Parts: sequence; structure tokens; C-alpha cells
Amino acid sequence: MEDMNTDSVALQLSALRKSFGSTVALSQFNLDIASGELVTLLGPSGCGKTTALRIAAGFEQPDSGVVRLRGTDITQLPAHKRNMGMVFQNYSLFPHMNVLGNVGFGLKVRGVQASVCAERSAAAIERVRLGGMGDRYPHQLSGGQQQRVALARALVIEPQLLLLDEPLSALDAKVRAELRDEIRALQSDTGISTIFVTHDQDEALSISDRICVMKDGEVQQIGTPREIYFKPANNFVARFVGAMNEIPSATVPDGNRPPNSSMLLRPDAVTVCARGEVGSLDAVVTGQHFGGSTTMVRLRLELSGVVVSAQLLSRSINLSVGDKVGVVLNTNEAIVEP
Amino acid sequence: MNRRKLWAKLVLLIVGTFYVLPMLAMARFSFQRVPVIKLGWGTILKGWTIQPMLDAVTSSRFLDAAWLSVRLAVLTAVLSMVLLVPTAIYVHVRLRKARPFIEILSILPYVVPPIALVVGISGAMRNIVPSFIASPYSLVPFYVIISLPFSFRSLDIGLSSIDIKTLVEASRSLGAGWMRTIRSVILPNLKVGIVNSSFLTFAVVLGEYTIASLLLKFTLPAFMAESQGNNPQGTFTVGLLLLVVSAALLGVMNRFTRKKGAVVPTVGI
Repeated sequence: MEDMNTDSVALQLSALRKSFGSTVALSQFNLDIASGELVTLLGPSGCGKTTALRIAAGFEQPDSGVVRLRGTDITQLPAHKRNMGMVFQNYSLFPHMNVLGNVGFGLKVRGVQASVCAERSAAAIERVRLGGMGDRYPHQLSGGQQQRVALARALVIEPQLLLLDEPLSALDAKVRAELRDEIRALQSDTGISTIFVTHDQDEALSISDRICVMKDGEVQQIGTPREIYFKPANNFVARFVGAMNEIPSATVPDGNRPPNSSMLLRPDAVTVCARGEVGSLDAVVTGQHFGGSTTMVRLRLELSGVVVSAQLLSRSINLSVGDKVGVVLNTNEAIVEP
Repeated sequence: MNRRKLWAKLVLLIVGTFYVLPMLAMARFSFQRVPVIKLGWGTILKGWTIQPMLDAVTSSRFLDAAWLSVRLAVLTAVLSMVLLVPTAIYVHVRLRKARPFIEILSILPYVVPPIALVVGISGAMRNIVPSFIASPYSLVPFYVIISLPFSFRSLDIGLSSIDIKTLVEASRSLGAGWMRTIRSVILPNLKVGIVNSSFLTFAVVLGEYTIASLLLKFTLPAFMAESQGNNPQGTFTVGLLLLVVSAALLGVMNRFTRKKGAVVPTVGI
């Protein structure tokens, strides 16, 4: 994003550093978010992604560094003056207010006329497909519905930035997938620049314009989902995003790699064929994990004993444990690590 | 399941009996004009009267004492809330690490004998504000301290039952400043805690005798101690009346706090 036009930058986090006691949560953290862009902060627990989001929201003060919103330094600006909508991981609806009250809260605070407030709140509730539920209280809603209300509440104030702090992690798989798509659609419709925090790589890959992979408070790579998946900047990113096979180079009959090195290969770069085909390695099927449209097949290479996973289309395979097959490793897509 | 229900009912019955039986005995002693030695099944319907209660509650000394106790109870409850609600909120939102320390501090009055409290504070105050101890309202600070274990803990439990940090952050992210957040988000959700805390403080003050007696203030318990000699039945009727009023108040508060919206557990009582 170094070449991002200054005018198009919605939020700029520059050289942020934050520590809690002796623990460094963020170290030299830089991130620019373009107008209308959805950027995901992805990383394992404790990598600093939530800290970065909370600094952007104004709930934490960085030890050093600058936060700019549309070019204006807001590092010292209190959270309630930043005009950012936020959705939290744990349902954050006000329990004593009904849906309409919750959604209208931000407008009321801004002194919007009662009739306009009611109209805009109702429209926002309709937009998240909860029409007719305005008089319900949070405890009368499911988790998914509560997060929809939280989303409507954050969007109705027309924020300059939308901050989503693992909003789907408390939901079950089906609702999670539905709401993920809805969030993306709403974000695209409204064009509000968004930061989405998650530790779920699938979520990050499917929802983001760009992903910022973090580890130990530092940015490992910023790129589009395809870049992150197919061209990981380092071994951490390669291993963290998507499944990965680690294969000793000596296993593969290709003399161009250092003998003690390993190569990292995605399961979708491993194909299964009949034994004896040119370029294939003999293998035995040791297990398979059906995942709907695709199946993850585990194979043991006979010569080296190394176990690899192959992601194959479920419809195209008919394998059983113990089958003797051939395996082709598409080494052009491999990453070599010393 | 049925056996468990049976056990639960049995335990409830035993506890209920343990609680109700002394009150029934107290009621008989208070409202029956029958010599104590003759109180038994044979006299259960004889000599019931409310005269001792009327004698007690219509005396000017009772009215003065009761009015003072009510004023002290209200003032103590108000002062406690003014001091403790912001403290409890601050501790929960900003200073969670200090919570164990504050908790210990709040139960300190349990271990400080009232006599030590009175001697210490009155000794110090006599030199600073000599008129302080002379006023009946000098009891209020003492009462705030001795009711602390109840008042603070009720608020603390009330705040623990909601995710206060997230609610505050949600409110602030929507543009509300601290005052607005406290007024519109925290206080409505802390209603149960505040009501419980105020009620317990009220009850503690109505029943406090030691400090009032040491400082020579004529509160309701002081009146009861005084009138025990000349109208023991009247004294007991007042005691019983206090219990009934407290129970009724508790019922009203419970109904009031469970009106609508969040299902917040009743805490502290």
C-alpha cells in the first residue's frame, strides 16, 4: 500500500507501538486503509490485532506512533469523538433497550430529531433483515440476530470507519457464514472503510479486500487474499494461512534444492494419479477427511515415509484407506525453506 | 429428579420453619395479653390486641426516634450511593486490578469493632469540627462505613453480572461521552444493584444500636432498648413491624427491578 494515494487513505496507522507491562503488543505497526476498503487483521491469539483495532477506536493509547483519519491526527482524540462504528465479539447490545432503542442510541446521542431517528433506525433494522423485531429486547434474540442489531447500530450513525472485532466468533458455523456474507454485502453497499479482526483464516480469505497477517505485534505481510495464499511472504504466513504440507526436499527427485531444506506445498498442489505415471511418487492412502465439495486425502509416500495431504474434488475421487496410488507434487508452487 | 425436588422442598420447609417460628412466637408475645407462662396451645386464640403496639407507636418518643432513624437511613443510603456507585464503576471499567483490594477494604468494617470506630473518629473530629459529634447527623458517616460490606458488594455483584466494559466501549464508540454513558447505559443496568444496595444500607441503619448508643443519639433501636423496661410488648411489636415493613419493601423492590428488559439476577440480598 506504499503507493496508496494520500487522498484515498481513510485510516493511517503509523509506527504504532504499544506494550502492556513487559509484553509488547504492537511494535512498529504500519497500516493504511483505503476508502471503501475492507482490511482484515489476521493472526494467532496475542499477535496484537485487537490492540491495533482498539487503538484505532480510541480505547487504547499507543506508547508511540500516530493514528490519522482522513489525514487528521486523531491519536489523542477520545473514542466518542471519532465517529467510528464498532461491533464487538461478545454481544454488546444494551440489555435495557429494545432493538429500536439500541439502533437509535447513536443517533440520539448526536441529537437527531426523534422522528428522523425512528425512521433511520427502522431502515437500518430492515437492512439487516430484522424488520418487525424493533420492540424485542436483546435477551429475546439469537446470537446472530444480536450481532445483526449491533451491525445496524454501528452503521446507522454513518461512521467514517467500521471496526469489527471478531464479530462472528461466538456464532455457530451456519450463521457465521451467512452473517459473514451479509457483512461483506453491507460493507460494499455502504462503501464504509472497515477493519475486520479475526483469527479465522477462512473468514479472512473470503471477506477481505486485503489481509494484514500479524505475529508478535509485527506485520508479517499485507496483501490481497490471493497474494497471501499463493505468495506468502514468509514461512509463518505460509503456515498460518491455509493448510500446508512440509516435505523434505530430499523426498522429491529434483536436484535443484539444498539437500537439508524443506519445501512447503499447499494440499491443492498435490494431485493423485494411477501408480507409475511419469513424475509421480508411489504412495498409500492412509486416511481421508470429507469436507463437502472437497476431500482432504492423507497419503504416505512409500519411499520416504513422509505423509502429505492432497485436497481433491470429492466428486472426482473414489479412494479407500490402503489404496496404492501415485502422487504428483506440483513443486512449481512450492516454497523452499532452508 | 422427584427425589431431588422432595429434598429441596424439605430443606425449604426446615429453613422456613427456622425463620418463621421465632416470628410467630414474637407475634404471640407482642399481640396477646396472656402471661408468658400461660402461652401455649390452649391460649392460642385468647387476648389478642394491638394496644401495646398503639401505645408504642403513638408515643412522641417513638415518633422522634423513628423519624430520626428514617432520615439517617435515607441520608446514609444516598451518601453511600453517591460515593460508591462512581467508585464501583471506575473499579470495574478502569481499575480492575484494584478490585480485590477494594473488596477487602469494603469488608474491613466487619473486623473493626464499632467502639474503636466511634472512639477513633469522634476523637479526631472533636479537634477538627467540635460541633460534629453533637449533631445527630454525625451518625451518617459511621453508618456509611458500617454498611459498606453490604452496600459495596451489592453494587459490585450488580456490575459483575453485566459486561460493563463492553457496554461502555459500545456506548462510547456510538458517540456518548462518559456522563451520557453512565446515565443512559450503566445506571439503568445497575438499577438492581443500586436498589439492593440502598435497601440493605437502609436496613443496616434502621437496626444499628451500638454506635447510636455510644454517641447518645436517640434512634429507633435506642428507643426500643429504652422502652423494653416499661412496655416490653410494645417494643416487640415495633420490632415485628420493622421486620414486616422490611419484607414488604423487599418484595416491592424485587417487583420493581424485574419490570422488563434484561433478566438480571437479584443479587446482594
